[in-house]
Amino acid sequence: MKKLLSDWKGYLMTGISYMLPIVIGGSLLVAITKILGLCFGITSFDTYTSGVWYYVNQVTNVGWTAIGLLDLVLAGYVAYAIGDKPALAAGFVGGAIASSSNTGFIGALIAGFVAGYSARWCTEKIKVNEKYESIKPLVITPLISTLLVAVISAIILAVPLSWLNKSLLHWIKAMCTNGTSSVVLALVMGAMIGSDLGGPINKAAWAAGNVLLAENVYTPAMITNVAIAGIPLGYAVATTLQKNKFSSELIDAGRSDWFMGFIGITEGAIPFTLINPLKLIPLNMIAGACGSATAIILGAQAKIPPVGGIYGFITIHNGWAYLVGLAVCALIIGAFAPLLVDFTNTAVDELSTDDKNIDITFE
Amino acid sequence: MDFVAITSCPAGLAHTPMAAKALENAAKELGLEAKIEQQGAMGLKNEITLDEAKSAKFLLIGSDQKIEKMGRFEGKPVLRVDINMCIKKPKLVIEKCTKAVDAKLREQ
Repeated sequence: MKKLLSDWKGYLMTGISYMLPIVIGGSLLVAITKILGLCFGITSFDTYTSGVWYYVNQVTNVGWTAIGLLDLVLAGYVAYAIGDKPALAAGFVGGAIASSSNTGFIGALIAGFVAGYSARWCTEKIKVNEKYESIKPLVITPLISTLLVAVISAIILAVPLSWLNKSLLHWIKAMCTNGTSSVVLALVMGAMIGSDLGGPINKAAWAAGNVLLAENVYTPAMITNVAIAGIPLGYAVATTLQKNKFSSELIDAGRSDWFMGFIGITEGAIPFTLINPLKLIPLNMIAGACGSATAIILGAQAKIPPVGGIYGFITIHNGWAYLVGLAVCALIIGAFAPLLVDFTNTAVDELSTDDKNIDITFE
Repeated sequence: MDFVAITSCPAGLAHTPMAAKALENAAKELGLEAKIEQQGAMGLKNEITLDEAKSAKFLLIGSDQKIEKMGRFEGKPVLRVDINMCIKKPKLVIEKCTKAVDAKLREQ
């Protein structure tokens, strides 16, 4: 059971990792053209039928086209993770059905799993005469897996899933727009990001934010982005302001944390947190929660899919609030981490020869 | 070649190279010959060739992700380990895997 769940998590993460470049490419196109327009006092390009702004609008539309591919890519690459290349076709089809039948990311994920497992089953279980071996990946697998996706996604699950999807989104959207509950959401998700820095809890919050992008719900991703960039920035700030409190290795790590924070990679905080996880994990969680909540309270809103990192503020409505949130998160860590922990002695603790919690599995 | 390893994480930016470097250094300290491939955001980095794959005793995968080009390692013992462990305790990971593979090969 534990193995199955960790497999599923791996498939989901693979899907998301292929989806990300499309989100980033698409959102940046939309954001940059919007800002360009705003610089010239234009809030909507729709009225332009020719000239420069018409072309700028075309670029914006391409950005939205990219964002519209999220379900498709997510389902396709979840399927690919499970059933390899033969599963890709049915996965894409399933993702497209999910978009068109409004079953959203839940539909896309289910379609991805159906496509992946059915293609894998075909590859492993169906035996054909060696002479006709090539017929399997070319005809049998695509046919069976796509047919199964069609039956399950388009016929059996379309209605109940689209209902479920709508209610779930309604609930999440309500939570994101209501003042108090959106702050609670920010506190929880910010703390999750800070908890294990790239481990399962962090990735659960991150994945939730990313998957919801496919549903035009952008607030959770924005919330996580604040903590993701703010936490490594905190250690960058700490090493810059209080150099004498860090070993030379950590000062190097702090320098690269400016970059990690700039593009939004929480893992940059790992080398520091490892020095004393018992004290620093709670600090990271508090800083992440406060930073995210500050951004929400000050009115940061995500109207297009938000991009992470410091420069991500250009994709945020009230981007300054996002930046203040980042600063709050970074300053909490920058101020308190050197007070709580001695960073001058950084011999890596490989002295403990306890390998019990190293899980290895044969494939 | 004592072993080959592949590291991979969802974003492919931070954990992947960190784990690869940790394993590389640990292998060096243990006096083992190893090659570590990264499957990150840039695609395959430091790719393991077919010959290297054939000469290795086992493949260590530091990831819960989908790994590309697994065809190279057909018939090899393949182990999966959490990528965080590869960063935190690379030496212990390598030692434990080597022992496990030795034990398995003896059984056969």
